[in-house]
Amino acid sequence: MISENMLLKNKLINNTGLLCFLLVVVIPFFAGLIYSLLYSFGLTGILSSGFTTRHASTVIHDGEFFSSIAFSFYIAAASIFISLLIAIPGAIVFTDNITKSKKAFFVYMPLAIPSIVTAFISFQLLGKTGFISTVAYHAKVINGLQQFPDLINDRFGIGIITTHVLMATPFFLIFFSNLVVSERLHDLSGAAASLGANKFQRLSRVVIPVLFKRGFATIVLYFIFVFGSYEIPLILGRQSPQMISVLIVRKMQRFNLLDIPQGYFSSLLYTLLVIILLLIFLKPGKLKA
Amino acid sequence: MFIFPRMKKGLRYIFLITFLTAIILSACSSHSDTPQKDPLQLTWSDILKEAKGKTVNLMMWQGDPQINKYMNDYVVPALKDSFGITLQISAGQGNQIVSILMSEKEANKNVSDIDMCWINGETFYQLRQINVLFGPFVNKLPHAKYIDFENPFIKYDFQEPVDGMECPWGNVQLCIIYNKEKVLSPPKNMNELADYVKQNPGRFTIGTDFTGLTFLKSLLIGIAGGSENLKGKFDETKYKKYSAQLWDYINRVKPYFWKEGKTFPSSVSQMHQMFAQGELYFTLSNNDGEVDNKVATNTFPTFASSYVLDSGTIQNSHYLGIVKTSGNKAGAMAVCNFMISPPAQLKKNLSSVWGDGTILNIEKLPPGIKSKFDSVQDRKYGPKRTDIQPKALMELAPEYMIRLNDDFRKYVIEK
Repeated sequence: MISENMLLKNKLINNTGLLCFLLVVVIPFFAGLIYSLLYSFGLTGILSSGFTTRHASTVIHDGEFFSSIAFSFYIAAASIFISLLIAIPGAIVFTDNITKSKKAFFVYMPLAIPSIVTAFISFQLLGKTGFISTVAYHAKVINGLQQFPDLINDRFGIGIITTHVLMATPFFLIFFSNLVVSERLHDLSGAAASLGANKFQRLSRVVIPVLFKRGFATIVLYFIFVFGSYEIPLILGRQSPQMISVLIVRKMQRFNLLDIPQGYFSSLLYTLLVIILLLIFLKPGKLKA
Repeated sequence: MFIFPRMKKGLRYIFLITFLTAIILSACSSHSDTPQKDPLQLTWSDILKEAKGKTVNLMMWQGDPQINKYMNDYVVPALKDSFGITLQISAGQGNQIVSILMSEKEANKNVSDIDMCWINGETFYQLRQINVLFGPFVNKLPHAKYIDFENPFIKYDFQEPVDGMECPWGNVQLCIIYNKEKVLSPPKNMNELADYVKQNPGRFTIGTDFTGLTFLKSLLIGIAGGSENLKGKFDETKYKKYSAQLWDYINRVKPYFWKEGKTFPSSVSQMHQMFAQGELYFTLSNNDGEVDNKVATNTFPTFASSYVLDSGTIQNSHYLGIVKTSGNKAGAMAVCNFMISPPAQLKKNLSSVWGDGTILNIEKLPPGIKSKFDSVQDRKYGPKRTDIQPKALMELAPEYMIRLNDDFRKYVIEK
C-alpha cells in the first residue's frame, strides 16, 4: 500500500514536471515560431495587408542574412577553438580538481561578470585610446595612439572573439577539470603508461578523446550560445556584417514598420538553423555513441 | 493521477493544462477594475482630482545622466509634492516604444504598461501609423497657452501638424561639436569638411543612430539648396536625385573617416566617449545646449566647442505623447502640464541641468518668470540660439529618414 502511494506520488511529480515543461518552455516556443511564421508572410500584425512572400524574398536575396550567419559561425568557431586550446591543457596540467583549490576564485570570478560588463571592459582595454594602447604609447612601442591596431569594431571580430574567450575559457576550464576528476583520467593515463604508451599516445588516445566525447554536448551548446550572442557584438562589432542576433534586433526595430516582417523571417530562419544543428549534433544516438 | 484518481488519463491532462493555462492567462491579463473617466470631458480641477494618488508610467530615453537627474531629482519629487502623483520612469526610446505598443495592440491588451512617452518625429509618425496615441489633449492643458505654436519648428513635427496629439516639451538644433585645441578653424561647409577629413584621417565619423541620420538629412537639405525644395510630402524623384549626390560625397571622403569608414559608431554616446578621449576630433549633438552641459558636468573636457554648418542644420522639437490605452490619462495630462510649466522649462533650460531649449513663447510669460528666462545666458562653449536660429532647417517628411536609414546602410556601410 505504501509503495503504491509512493508510485502514485512519483507519477504525479513526473507528470506535473512534464506538463510544466510543456507549458512554460515547449508551447510558448512553438507558439512563438508559428507567430513568426504568420508575421513573416503578412498573415498577422496590425499593419499586415494579407499573404505575401515579399519579406522572405528580400531576406533571402539581399545577402545580408547569410553573410551575418557566416560571420556568426566564424566568431563562434574561433572563440570556442581558442578557449578549448587554453582550457583543455589547463585542466590536464592541474592535477587536482581546480574548483576545489584556492585558484578557484580567479576561475569563478570571470563567470560572475555579465557579458555586457565584459564587453565594456574589452572596449576600455582594446580601443585605440584604451588601456593597452596608452601603455604601449608610454612604453614608446607606438608613436601615436592612432598607430595602435584595430582590435574593436574591427574587420576580423578580434574584440568579440577576445571577449568570448575571456568568458568561455574559465567555464571550460572548470568543466574539463571536473571531467578529468570524475572520469579518473590521471588513473587511466597512468594505466596506459604502464602498458607502454608514451605521453603523446596517452593524450591523443586516452585523455583528449574521453574529454571530447564526454564534453561534446556542452561544447555544441556553448557554440550555439556564442553564435547567438547579442551584447558583446553590439558593443564591439562592426555595422556590417553584424552577428545574427544584432541583425535580427535591428530588423525588428526598423524605422519602416512595414519592414518588420523581415526581422521575423530572419529570426525564423535562424531558429530553424539552430534546431537543425541540434538535431545533427545532439541527437540521442550521437550522445550515447 | 494522485489528485484525481478516478478521472480518465486524457481528461486529467486536459483539466490540468486548462487549469495551468487559466492561471498563466489570469496572471498576464491587465484589466482595469475601475473604468476611468474621459479626461477630455472633465474640468482641469477634476482632472487633478482624478490624477491624485495615482501612478503614471513614463517611458523615455535614459541615456544621459543629467537628463535622468533632472527627472529623478526635480520632476518626480515635484509631482509627488504638488499633485500627489507618483511618476515611474522606465527606459526605452523610439523603436522600443513603438515595438511595445504594437505588441500590446496585436495582443488586444486593454490597458497599456505605458501611460506616456517621450517621442521624436519619427516615433510620432510610427505611433500615428498604428493609431495608439490619445488626443487631441494639448489644448486642455492650462500651461499650453504659453507654448509657442506660432513657431513652425514646434507646430509641425516631421512636416506633420501636431494637432494636439503630442505635447511639445523641448526644442533643439543639431550641432557639430569639435575639439578646438586640434581643429583651429572648423569646416563650415561640405567642401571644407571633405578637405579637413582628407587632411586629418580617422578623426571624423557619422553615427548610425537618430543623431547621425539628422546630420545626413541636414546635408541632404544643403545639397538640395534648402528646406523649401524638400518641403511637404516625400518626393521620390527629388530624393533619388539628391541622395545619390549625398552618397557620392560621403563615399569620396569615407576612406578618411574613423576606422577608414569600414564601420560606423552605432550611438552618439559612443562618439561622445571617443571624442572625450581624443580619438575623434568631432562628435554630433542633437541639442545645441549639450556641449555646455557636458563640459559643466566634466563629461567633455574644456576643449569642446560647437557650431553649425553655413548651410544650416535641422532644428526640431521633442514631445510627450499619451498612450490611447493608458490606464491613467488624467495623471499623464497632469504630468504633461507640469513638464511644460514655466518653472520646469526654466530649470531644464539651464546648461548646468540639461540645456534643453524651451518650447514656450517667452514673450507670453508673466514678467517675473520672463526675466528669469531672459537672464539665462550661460552658454560658454556652444553657440547662442539667436545666432544659429537663421541657420535652422525644418525637419523633412518621415519617409526621408526611413529611406536615408536604409540607403546609408546599402550605399555606404555595406559598400
